[in-house]
Amino acid sequence: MAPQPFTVSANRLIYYSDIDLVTGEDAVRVSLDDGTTITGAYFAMNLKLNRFIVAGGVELSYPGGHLSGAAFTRFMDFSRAYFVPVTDQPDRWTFVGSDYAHPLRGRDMPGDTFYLPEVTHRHVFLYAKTARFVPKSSAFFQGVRLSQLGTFIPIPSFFLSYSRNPNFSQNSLAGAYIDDPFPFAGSTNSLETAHLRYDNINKLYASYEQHLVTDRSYLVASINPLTRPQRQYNLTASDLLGNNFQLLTFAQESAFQQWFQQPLSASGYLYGTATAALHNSYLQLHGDWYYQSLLAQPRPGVNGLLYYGDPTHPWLPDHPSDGQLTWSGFDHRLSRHLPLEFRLRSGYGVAHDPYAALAFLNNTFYDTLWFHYVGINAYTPSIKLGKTLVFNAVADKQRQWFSAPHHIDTTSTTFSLSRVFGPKAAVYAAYQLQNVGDFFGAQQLIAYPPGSAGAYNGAGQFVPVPFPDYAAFRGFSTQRGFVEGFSFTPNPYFQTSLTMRENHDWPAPIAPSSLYGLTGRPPLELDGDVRLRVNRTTSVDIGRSYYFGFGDLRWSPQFSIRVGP
Amino acid sequence: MTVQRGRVAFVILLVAGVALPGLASVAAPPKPAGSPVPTSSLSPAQTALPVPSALPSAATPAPALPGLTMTATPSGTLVRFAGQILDVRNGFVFFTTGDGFRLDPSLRTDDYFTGAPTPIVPALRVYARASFDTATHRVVQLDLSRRPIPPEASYEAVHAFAVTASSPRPNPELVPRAGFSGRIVNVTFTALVPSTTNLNDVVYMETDQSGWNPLAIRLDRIDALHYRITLRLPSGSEFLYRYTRGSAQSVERARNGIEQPPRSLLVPEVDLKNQDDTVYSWADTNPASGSNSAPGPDAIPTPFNPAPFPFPVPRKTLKP
Repeated sequence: MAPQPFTVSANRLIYYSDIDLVTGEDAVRVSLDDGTTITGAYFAMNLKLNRFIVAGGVELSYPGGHLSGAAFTRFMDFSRAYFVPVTDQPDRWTFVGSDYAHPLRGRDMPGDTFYLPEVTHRHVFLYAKTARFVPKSSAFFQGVRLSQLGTFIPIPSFFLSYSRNPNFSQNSLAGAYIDDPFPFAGSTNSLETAHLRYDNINKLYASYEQHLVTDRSYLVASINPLTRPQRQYNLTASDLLGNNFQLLTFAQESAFQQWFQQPLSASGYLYGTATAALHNSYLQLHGDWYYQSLLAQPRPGVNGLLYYGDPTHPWLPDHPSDGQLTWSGFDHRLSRHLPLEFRLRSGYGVAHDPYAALAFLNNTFYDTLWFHYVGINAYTPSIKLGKTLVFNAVADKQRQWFSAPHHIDTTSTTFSLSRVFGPKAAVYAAYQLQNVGDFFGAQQLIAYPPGSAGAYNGAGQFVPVPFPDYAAFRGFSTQRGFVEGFSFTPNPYFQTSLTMRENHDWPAPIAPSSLYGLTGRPPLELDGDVRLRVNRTTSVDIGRSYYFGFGDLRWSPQFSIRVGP
Repeated sequence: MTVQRGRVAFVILLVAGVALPGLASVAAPPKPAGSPVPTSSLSPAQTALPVPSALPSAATPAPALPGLTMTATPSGTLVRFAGQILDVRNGFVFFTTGDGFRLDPSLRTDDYFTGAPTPIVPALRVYARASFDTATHRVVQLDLSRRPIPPEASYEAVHAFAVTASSPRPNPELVPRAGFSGRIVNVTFTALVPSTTNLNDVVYMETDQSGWNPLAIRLDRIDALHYRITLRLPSGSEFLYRYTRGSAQSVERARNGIEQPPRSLLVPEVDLKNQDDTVYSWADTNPASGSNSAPGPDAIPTPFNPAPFPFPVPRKTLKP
């Protein structure tokens, strides 16, 4: 029988987030759903061990009786309660389930049954007046003062979900520099959260997110930002139907609107994925739908332009879409004697865009492209070279055919050597080679015409490209990369890694400048990352990159600093 | 599933006390004056013992094992025991061991650290050193403090003084079944990732103890296909985890492409545990490219055709 919810009130309830503990002081009253009440001077609930104690002048009232004692402890996972009665003589009683009328007298108890937790120097997350506990799931606090930036702010309620269901961690919000969540309501299957967020575009703003979850499904929806006109309505959902079929979807509407008035612009994106497990393989059907404007076509405005409000909110009727059915095989060993694993894949799909060309050949728009492909991925398990070195190799080959007459071959190969220095340090070096070829056969020079190193713009004007590699580009590229990595983790509180990446690509990358954005991979890049664990619930991750002689880039724009659990 | 988890945790609970057999919590009946102090009235299999935390965050601090101090008194021998008070009622003081001890009518209370009379009243959560008269089995003095105080006599030395109405009876539910002490075990997780994982990718571990935050534990790459991290976990605890590449959308998938329940590890009673896992695929892997980018029209047909750069793509003329 699942443990039943119960309610606790006290003059002061305290939640210590770093030790998963809730304590109550003075006028403690615990109300179980079976009508039993326990009063006392002190309460402590260990959320992870799923047990609580009431101590000090304990009065236990149950339907049909009343008992006085020094302490009462309930181990909810085992439907056992332990009690120190105070009658003419002390005793030790064990209650089975909720049968308080027939205690097992004198029975041995676990040794720490009545121990009180030590909370000195622990982090107080909130104070509250009442709390409703659903064992192993949640605690709903009311009359809350919440720890924020060194002070305590009053809020009506705080819903603490400590469920082991990972679906509660699904996220539908975009990233932000700072995110301060306020879960204010919820249940075993839901969670409503207000977020106070900050980023460099929207500055300080509020958002809202709603979770609906079960063990096998989730639906998460959000409005972000809630307090800015340019916002996103997001929804992501998943459902496991049996053990071999899963549906997954994501929908997004980006709108510019004042609060919930008629938006001046609204675009949408939707994808859906269905996965079906087969014997030794699985099938996946995936579709994407883009809607540049969800609004009705407006009347022509200035200069015949189509827009809502003013020309900064143009109306665009474009709605590209694509879909594909893929088959992915399991890993198989080539032979018993050869250390080589391989995995096959294939797929069939279509992409359609009624307004923008997916391909443009011989002055012909291809607004619908059908394609199919086959691919193989092979790799060696870790092979020991001598006593200390480990060798890995990975190769991948794919050919993709299109209804527009061409096919693309992609071949990539990776070799790595690594060495592990005990449990704390490791180094590796990897060489990666990737070739991509876009084969048009006799029409190769039509698709990639000599001397055209550019494209025609919407006005029919040719825009040249001032980069010689691209002027010589005929649809075949080579990327070569050499990666060296070092990681050092001397203890659980400190981690560091250093990675050097050296890339020799053709066509050469276009370095970022005031005229052009970054295209391609930097020739030489050094990345460093340090992670410090401050305490059990807080870590700080600091990372930065340096680019050697790559246009305007030297140091990456700023440190990446992340504070998290 | 819930039942199974509960059973596992119960086993942990039951077996946890084996390593600390000195902390028997069952009060023996009062002994006549002058009788030797029993060291333990229970066999190890019957002994009810402190339960180590099933999770590292949930440790319940157990009182330290005290030493024995005896001082000659006119009435017999004085035994001192330090602990924390649960309650003082009806002429008894109750300690967090669950035992009630009878207070002597001439009880004296002092400050533990100064030895002077104290305004602290013996009450719930107050730390106390109780001095027992071995002749009367009564507490004749309480030295009080609001801070933890160092242990003195062992629990075995005083539990015979506890007053109990019922004879102690063994609890069949507390029979140990396996050897978990809650000791800290270095568990090294090594994950074999899909061979399509990019060399630039960072792999993390999300766990139930960190609220399934996908950035909670960062793994170190040790070669092209393996990531590794060593965690310190208490033996007997059940550790739930999943690998991810840093977001809820890039969490690992089962071999058959379906979302899988979290991995579970019952931390064994060893010095070092190597846990080797295989990640078969990531949720955001695009099968068409074999890479970890979401599929979309931008990837079709190729970045090299028709315009590899951010130049205008030819568009059809719109008719207003």
